[in-house]
Amino acid sequence: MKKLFIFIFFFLLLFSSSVLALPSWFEEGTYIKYALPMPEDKGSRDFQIFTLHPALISPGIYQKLSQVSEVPEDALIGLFVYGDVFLTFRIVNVTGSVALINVTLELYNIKVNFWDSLDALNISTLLTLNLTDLTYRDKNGNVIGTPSFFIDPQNPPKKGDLIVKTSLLKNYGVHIGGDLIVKNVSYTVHMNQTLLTYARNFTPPYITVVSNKEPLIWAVGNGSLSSSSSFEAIYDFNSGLMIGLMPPSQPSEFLALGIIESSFLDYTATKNLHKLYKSGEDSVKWWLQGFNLYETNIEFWELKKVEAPESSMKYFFIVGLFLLLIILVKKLRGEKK
Amino acid sequence: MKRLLAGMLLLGSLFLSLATAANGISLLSCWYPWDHDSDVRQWSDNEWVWAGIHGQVEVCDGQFQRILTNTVYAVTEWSGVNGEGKKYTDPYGRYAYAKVYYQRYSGETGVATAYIPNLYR
Repeated sequence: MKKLFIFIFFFLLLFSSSVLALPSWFEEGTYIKYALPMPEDKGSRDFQIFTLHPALISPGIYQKLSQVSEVPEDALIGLFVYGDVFLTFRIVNVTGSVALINVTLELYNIKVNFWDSLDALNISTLLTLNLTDLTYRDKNGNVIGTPSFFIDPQNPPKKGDLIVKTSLLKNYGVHIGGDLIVKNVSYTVHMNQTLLTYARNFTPPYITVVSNKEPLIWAVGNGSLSSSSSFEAIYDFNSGLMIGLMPPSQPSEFLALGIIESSFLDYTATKNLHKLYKSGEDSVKWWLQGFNLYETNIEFWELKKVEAPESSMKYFFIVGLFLLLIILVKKLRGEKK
Repeated sequence: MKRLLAGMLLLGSLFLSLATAANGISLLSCWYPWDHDSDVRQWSDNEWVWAGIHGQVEVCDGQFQRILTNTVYAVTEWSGVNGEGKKYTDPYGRYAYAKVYYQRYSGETGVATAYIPNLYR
């Protein structure tokens, strides 16, 4: 009987470990915001480009864009962004094994198709995340990719795992080799450097996920796009949260927003990195140059530093230790007697 | 008298139509210069990136109209860095660009960008 219980206990233990363990911060109401803030003294060639496919964007966005620019259905839409860019993930709802994630890309100071001014644009969508295998699903239940903004640190991605179902683009006149899958998972990238972000500093180790690179071609008449699609992001080892999305990555959320390709760089982080080079601090500190963590309501436990507030506890412990020592000495003496 | 008047009117209308036609021709004073742009970053003889683009543009009365898309030629070249090229030409000739993303061995990332219309914006 006892053996059976032990067996059941171990069986349950084994079974429970195979169930996906979500990071503790993954709950309704959590938001994580990444940014590409444009510096005040930006250069003339400092801008971001997001390339949208007219058949993949929402009717609302199509309408908004066609109010300021000509948006023919046989041309890609180029959003030239001269201001700040924010990418926000919000966990709207968690029910059983499904979570709803709101993804919003905020763009400021835009020239639509190079010429037509638009002060601001919010491109947003609600994604269904299956929590058992951490994949986004479309209305028909088909997998479109995995979330970019976090990984399960207990069960990090493995070589060959899907990242973005870029092959879906083949249905929209885009020639692409195949899907983006995990090519490499590394724990040694920036292993001696503190990563600085707008929200907080991160300390090593980190988990870096890199995909394959797929050539991407689109052509209509004499118009054409020749680019490639790839993914690289760096995650916090403890929380599994994405610290930075490296340029020019194509996360699955971009595809869901109708963005088929983009060119971005955090010009502010680039300036900050150059300052680190100049001061010689780049060997211990680093700024990633893509979408960097900007704001979140996740509370990181490392933030509660062992400093001033706990100093009184320190004396308490010293007194306690001292008392223990006295008791020990007394006991030893008593034993001798 | 009537014949003379009719003849005068005919002749007048002929001159008038000629004048408007001539005017129409002068309105369409377009030219097709070559526009170009390049962004070169060089750190040493064998560490550099180059994004370049050129193409003919239609300029009418000093106003940019469009790029002649069949004349666009873009270059994305690099040496001594990890590079990735991107090229785009709008099918309606509104813009075209070439970009090179690069990562130097120091780990620093950057992007070189060349676009048209540049000189004839």
